[in-house]
Amino acid sequence: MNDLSSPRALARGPALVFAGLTAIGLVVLLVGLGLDADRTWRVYLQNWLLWAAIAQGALVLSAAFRLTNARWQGPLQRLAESFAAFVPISLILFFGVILGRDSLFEWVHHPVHGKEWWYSTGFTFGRDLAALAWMTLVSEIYLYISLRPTLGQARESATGLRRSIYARWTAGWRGEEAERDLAERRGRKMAAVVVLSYALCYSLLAVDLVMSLAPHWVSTMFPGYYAWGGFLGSISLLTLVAVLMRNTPEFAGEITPSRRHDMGKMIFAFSIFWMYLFWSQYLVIWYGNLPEETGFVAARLGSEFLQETWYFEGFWTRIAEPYARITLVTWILLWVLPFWVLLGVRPKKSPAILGAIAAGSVFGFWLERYILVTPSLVPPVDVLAGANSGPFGWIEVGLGLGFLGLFMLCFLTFGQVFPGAMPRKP
Amino acid sequence: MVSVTDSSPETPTQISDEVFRTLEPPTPIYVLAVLFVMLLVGAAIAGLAYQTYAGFGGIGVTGLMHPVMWGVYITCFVFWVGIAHAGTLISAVLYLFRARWRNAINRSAEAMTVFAVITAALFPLIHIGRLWKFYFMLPYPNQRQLWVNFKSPLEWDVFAVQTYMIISILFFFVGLIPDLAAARDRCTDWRKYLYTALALGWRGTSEQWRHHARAVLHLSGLATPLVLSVHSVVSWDFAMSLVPGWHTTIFAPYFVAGAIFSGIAMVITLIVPVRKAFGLEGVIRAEHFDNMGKFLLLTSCIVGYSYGVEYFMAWYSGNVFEQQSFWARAFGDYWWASWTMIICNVVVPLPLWFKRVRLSVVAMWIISIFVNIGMWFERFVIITTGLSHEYDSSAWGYYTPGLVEITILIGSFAWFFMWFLIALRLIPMVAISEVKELYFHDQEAKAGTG
Amino acid sequence: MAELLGVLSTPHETVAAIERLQKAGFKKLDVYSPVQSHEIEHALDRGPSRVRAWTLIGGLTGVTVGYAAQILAAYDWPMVIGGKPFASIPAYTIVAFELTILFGGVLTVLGLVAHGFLGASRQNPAYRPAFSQDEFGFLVECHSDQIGRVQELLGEAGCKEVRVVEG
Repeated sequence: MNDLSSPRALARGPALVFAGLTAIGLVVLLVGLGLDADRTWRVYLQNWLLWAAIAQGALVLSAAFRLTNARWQGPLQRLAESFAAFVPISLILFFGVILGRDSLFEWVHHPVHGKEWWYSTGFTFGRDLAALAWMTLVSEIYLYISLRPTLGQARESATGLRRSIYARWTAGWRGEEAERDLAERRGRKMAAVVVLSYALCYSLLAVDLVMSLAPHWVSTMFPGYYAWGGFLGSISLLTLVAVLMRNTPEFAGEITPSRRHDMGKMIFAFSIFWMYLFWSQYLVIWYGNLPEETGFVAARLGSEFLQETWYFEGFWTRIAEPYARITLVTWILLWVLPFWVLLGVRPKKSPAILGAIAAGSVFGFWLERYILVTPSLVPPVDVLAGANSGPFGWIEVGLGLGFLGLFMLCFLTFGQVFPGAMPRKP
Repeated sequence: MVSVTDSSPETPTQISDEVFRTLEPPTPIYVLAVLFVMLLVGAAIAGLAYQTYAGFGGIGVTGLMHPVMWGVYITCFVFWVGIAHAGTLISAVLYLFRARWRNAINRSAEAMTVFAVITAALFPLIHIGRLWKFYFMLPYPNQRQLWVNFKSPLEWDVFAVQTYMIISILFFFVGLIPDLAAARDRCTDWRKYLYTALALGWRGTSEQWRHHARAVLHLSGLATPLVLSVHSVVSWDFAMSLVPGWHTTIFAPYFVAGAIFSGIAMVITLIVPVRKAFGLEGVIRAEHFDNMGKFLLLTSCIVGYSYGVEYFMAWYSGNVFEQQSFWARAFGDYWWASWTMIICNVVVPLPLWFKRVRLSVVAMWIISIFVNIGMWFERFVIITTGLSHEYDSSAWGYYTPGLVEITILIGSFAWFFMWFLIALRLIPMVAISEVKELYFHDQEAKAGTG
Repeated sequence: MAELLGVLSTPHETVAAIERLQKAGFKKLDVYSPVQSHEIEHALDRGPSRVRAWTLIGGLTGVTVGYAAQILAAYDWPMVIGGKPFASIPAYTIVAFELTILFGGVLTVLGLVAHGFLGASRQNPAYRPAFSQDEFGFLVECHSDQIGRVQELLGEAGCKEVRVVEG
């Protein structure tokens, strides 16, 4: 067993790579805004929707571990918490979405009848900012409570900048057993607050930032579906990172087969639930066949997703329609592969297979955000008329890598500053 | 307030003794209770006979009249299917998640599931009026050369509820086998023959346990998606239509959460008196109430979230029909039902945030009863207000249940309790072998550390 | 051949006894247990139960029957319902799913009966009622001339009682 109570040294190689990716992202953002602002902001929103939800979803996962008294997770809990280092950054990056509103939100130019006040620049972005600020606040309080017992142990041995940070975070901490119990109880309360806030705030964001792109589309399921996606995405990313880091000194011997088995089970079960949410939304829309509902699905699955030919004779022509193929790939990455590959015990325990499925799932969510955003802004007719909207253009890839780099930089920095261990439970 | 105390039985024999106490000869109160519920069931059967005989007006003796053609019967159907969900949740889902607190309550929850599905399955038959035509729902090659409509959600329901009934009975029975063998080896009266037959010759050999464990694991794996699907299918009976207030995408998970909510509440409602009457305090302990309270709270939050999203989206859609339907729900003729539902399901469970409340048996019991009431009204509100306020204002109506419907509603509760009471005397109501397994597990942990 | 029965009182002791006898070269072991025990199962090392295959076959049969029956029924008397195609895969997924579960579950139980009960119908006189309550019965099959050795080993393993099973 390694001593996990001290922070790790910054892994220079990965840190340089991610810093480079962030720089690329920044350059692509600036150049892209000059050349094709609409498209750049679209991609920006797509990535923001993904990484903000993953960062917050990871904290929800940590909170869920706490609330369910889970014991198997070990260092995974702190790993999940360190993803939340991106939460304050996502609040800052949200100003980018506000800046790009002219390119993104149709209602900025043409107010929606009956919803003029609901979709107005001030109120919409004001409440979203408030929601994100609230999420940041509760996240930081949660982290504060969660880290204090560990830092209390580590502050003696810390040096330099860390020492002063630890001293500030552990002010008033005496290291008594009673304090630890209190921190445990408070952490549990904050965990409930984090989970509830996530459900409400991310439902609101789903309405304001995704549904409002097609302001006439209605689905009561969508906010919950979106919030669940962030949660599942964070589990996938957590699994991927854990598997990749399994041989680092910090995690050596910690990512055991039984822990991988449990992570695999989580991806398996929660991806089934994701599929269930998707399906129960899809089936109602398919069956009801109301134009205000089907439009959203048709833009993504092809104009005749209601027809038999979709499945048999005309299959290849149907999936040649704009976006249909990407939607199918997304679905395969998010449900088909996780389900069929992780059905058995052995694939769940194999680092290579589990890691590949988790990586596919994270990538799948990146594509899913693309599919949620782009077809609303560039409808299939425009694509057929030649609009440039593919998921793998230089702007898409560059900005995507930039966000990935920034997210991982935050994660690495957090790991460098704070110890990776949880205080041992008696 | 009565608080839950922690006093674990000392030895495996004591566990058996405590659980088998329910199988001892009945007290007069028990006999009276059984007779009472049988009387109510009799009244309901008389009501059904009255309704079925066309000379009295057939289904016309109920309050069902255009535009509200689904009333108390369908409400009861959805309610009882919902109640049935807790058993599978506690047994299968918590089994897969290795939550060990399920062991003390899973048997009664599973028994409840079986009886609730049996109760629920009666209501479509009662509702069709011409009882003898029920077999039209089943697909089989027939002289008319017609097949059932597999695109109809009502037909999906036939399959979902039947599958659920069969699987939950099998699951219940498979889990029961080791305990039936234990009962066989203890009993001396006539029930020995019953248990000998039902235990299928169980000896607890390692070979039997090996296959048994695998079967239980697979049945849990199958029952978990099943439990999601069954109430989803029930919700689609409504959501697939275009009725305002019914056609909404969130219905499936919203119904499932509501079903688990009401099911857990019913488990608490039943288990509190049973625990008291048979002195099971040592087996059903504080942690069980604490955890069930948390489940109630979680599902109450999901249900409350769904109410909120539904109202918000009704407004957001800009669709006048949706808007007026939801307005009528809250402030129209059925305002009393809607507010009963909201208060019972969202407001009453709020004290569960406090651990002290979750540990108080009395408080938990009272809250669970309110939740049962609230969840019955939730289904009533969805069904009745949806139909009474559809698109055309000249076709709006008000539905009042008839006397026959009320009798059958009460009778359904009596029917459910009747089975439960009978089962109490015949079946070990706590999964003895699983509780013993935990006992040995704890013993070893103690020996290991100390 | 002879059969010996040792009576133990915890799963832990039983596992230790199994390991002791296995080490001494006795392979034909069996346990009567009032509770399921992963440790005992692990010690006896019989591999995964064949009930697995039953569930798989049941599930595959269910999903095939489910889709096939509905599509055939739709084309047997083609009727347009709700403007939907005759073979509406989304709608038919529901019943196909239910039948997958139904067939899978029923076959799992049949598999349990086939492997766990039909094969074990022989009434072994060694069985006693306490084995479904709180005692563990440990059966060892051995050559008649090894009885003494086995008795000794069982005694060392902490058996409360050791006796030869009378056929």
